[in-house]
Parts: sequence; C-alpha cells; structure tokens
Amino acid sequence: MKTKLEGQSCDLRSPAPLPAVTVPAMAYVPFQQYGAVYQPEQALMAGTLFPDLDKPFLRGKGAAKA
Amino acid sequence: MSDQEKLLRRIRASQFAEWELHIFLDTHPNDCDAAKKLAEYQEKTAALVKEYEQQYGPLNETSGNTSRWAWITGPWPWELGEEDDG
Repeated sequence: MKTKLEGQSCDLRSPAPLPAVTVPAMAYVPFQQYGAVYQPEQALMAGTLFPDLDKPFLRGKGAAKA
Repeated sequence: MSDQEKLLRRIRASQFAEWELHIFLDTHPNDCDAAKKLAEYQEKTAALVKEYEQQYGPLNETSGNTSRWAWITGPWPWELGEEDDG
C-alpha cells in the first residue's frame, strides 16, 4: 500500500539499546527496540503490544524471561 | 458473547494496538516500522468502526456513518453487559 510516510524523517534508525560509551558504576536501562508485536486481541489481554514489556507477576514460579 | 460484543472487542483491541504504537512513537519518533504499523492499524480500526456503525449504530459522537439521532435507539452505557465477561 502506498504509505503516506514519504518525505518524513522516519528513515533514521532508532538508538541502540545501550549508549556507545558505558561508564563504570552507572546504571543503564536498555532502550526498547521495535521488534515483534502481539496480535491486537492478545495485546489487549497482555496489557501491552510489545512482548519485551510483557512481564506478568508470576510470584517466583516463572522462569527468567529475556 | 454476541456478534456485536465480538466486533466491539476487535475494535477495542485494534484501538489499543494503535494507542500502544502511538506512545511507542513518543519515545521512538523516527522509527519507520512502528509508524507504518500505526498507519496500518488506523486503517483497520476505521474499517471495523465503519462496519460496526452500519450494523449497530454510532460508536462515538463524532460518527459520520449514522444519522444524527441514532443515539437514542442504542443501549445506554449501563445497559451494556461488557464489564461482567472474563
């Protein structure tokens, strides 16, 4: 489909998860990258469209998810 | 769930996906893939809303697909059984 996005500055890549220079003793939160997304109905149940952010409270039973 | 509720759920799901991508683009303004996905969901939602409104009446006050006075024929918000399903 002809997307109406031509001419907009959306060809730049998103920032990398971590800054180029990481300094000792500083905390960093990896910047979210656009990857796979849930189907809408599943996203509605999970509470987020992005699997990376889908972190249900498993009361210690669940395995560590990446 | 009736067909109407199923269609309404699909609309809400599509709108939720739209909103998620919208706030993703707040922090990732130059992400082309997300912008394309958002445009795709905007079209999908519009189609679903149009389909819903043709069958069940206006979904929101800005509805262009129904007559001005279609509101009074639809159920009042408290008459909808949406909130008690799982």
